[in-house]
Amino acid sequence: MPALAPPSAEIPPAAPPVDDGELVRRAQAGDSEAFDALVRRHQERLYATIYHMTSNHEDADDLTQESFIKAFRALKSFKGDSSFFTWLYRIAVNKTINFLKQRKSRNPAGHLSLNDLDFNVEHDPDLVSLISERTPRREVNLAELQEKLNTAMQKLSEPHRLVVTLHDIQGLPHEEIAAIMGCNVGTVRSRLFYARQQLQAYLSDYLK
Amino acid sequence: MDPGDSQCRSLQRLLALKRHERPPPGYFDRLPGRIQCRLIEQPEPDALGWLGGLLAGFQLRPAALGLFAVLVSCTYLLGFSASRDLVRQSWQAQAMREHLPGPHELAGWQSYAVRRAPRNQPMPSTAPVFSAGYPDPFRAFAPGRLGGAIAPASYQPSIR
Repeated sequence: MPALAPPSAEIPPAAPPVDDGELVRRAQAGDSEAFDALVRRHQERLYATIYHMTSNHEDADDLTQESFIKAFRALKSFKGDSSFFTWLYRIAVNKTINFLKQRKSRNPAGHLSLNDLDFNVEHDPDLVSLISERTPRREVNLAELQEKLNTAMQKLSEPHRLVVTLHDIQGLPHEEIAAIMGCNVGTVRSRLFYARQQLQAYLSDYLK
Repeated sequence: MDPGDSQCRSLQRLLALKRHERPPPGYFDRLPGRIQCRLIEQPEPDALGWLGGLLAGFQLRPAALGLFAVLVSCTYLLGFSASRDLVRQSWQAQAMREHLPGPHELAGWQSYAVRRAPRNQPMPSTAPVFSAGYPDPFRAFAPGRLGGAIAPASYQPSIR
C-alpha cells in the first residue's frame, strides 16, 4: 500500500481581494456570485445607514433588501462615473428618504424598534467616561440613553439626520457625503453644524 | 476650552453609542440569501412594461421625475394656450362670416355701381372675343347659334 503523501505544510496564499470594479463588471456580465460578494461587502454599512435613519430594524431590513435589488436591476446602467459604494449609497438614501416621507404622513409619531447594544459598549472608554463623569443622571442606563438618542435623531429632518449618520456615526468624509447626497461640501458642513446644534439642544440633559 | 466645542465632543461621544447597535445575531449571514430569493421571486421592471421601467428609472433618479413633471406641465400649458388661440381664431372667422354682405346686399351695391357709371362710356363687354372665330369647344355657343349673346349670370342688360 503506497504511503499517503504528507499534507503540504505550505498554506496556499490567500487570493488577493477583488476590487469593487472587477466584481461589478462580472455582475454586469451576469455572474450572480460576484453580486453576492458585493452584497456581503457592503451590507453592514448600508444596513447601518438605513437603520440609523429609520431607528427601526424591520424597516431597515426591508429597505436594505430593496436597495440591493434596485442596484442589481440597475447594474447595467452603472457607468462607473462614481464608485460603486457611492452609487449604491445614493440608491439606498433616495429609497430611505422616500420611505421616511411616506411614513411621516402615515404615522407621524414613528415607531422605534431598536437593535440590541453589543457587549463592547460596556468597554467603550468614551461611553464609560461620558456616562460616569459627564452625565448628571448617573443612574441612567444605556438602553434609556439609546432610546433618547434615537428619539432625538428622529426629530431631525431627513437631510440633517443623514449627514449626522454618515459623518458622526459612520465616519465618512464630507466629500463622500456630498457625492452621495448630490450637493456641495459647504452644504454638508452647514447641515452638520445645524444638526449638531439641534441634537445638543435635545440631549442637553446628557451633555452637561 | 470652548464650552460649545466641549459639548460638540460630548455629542460625538454620545453618538458613538449608535455604533454599538447590532441587528439580531446571524442577520448578515442570512441577508444575501434573502436578497437572492427576492430577486428570483420579484418580476423585473421590464416585465411590467414600459411604465414599470419608467417608474423604476424615476425611483433611481428623483430629479428626472421632477423634470418629467415640469415637461408635462409645460406641454399642458402650451396646448391650453394654443387651443385658446385656435378657438379665438375660429370665433373671429365666424364673426366675419356673419358680417359679410349677403346676396341681397350685394345686388343693391351692384345696381348702385352701375347707375353711377358714366353713360358715354361703353359698358365693358363680358362676351369672349375670338379673332379667328370660336375654337372647337365653344363653337356651339357662338352668337347666332343660340340666338343671343353669352352673358354672365350677373349681367343686367335691362339697366342699360
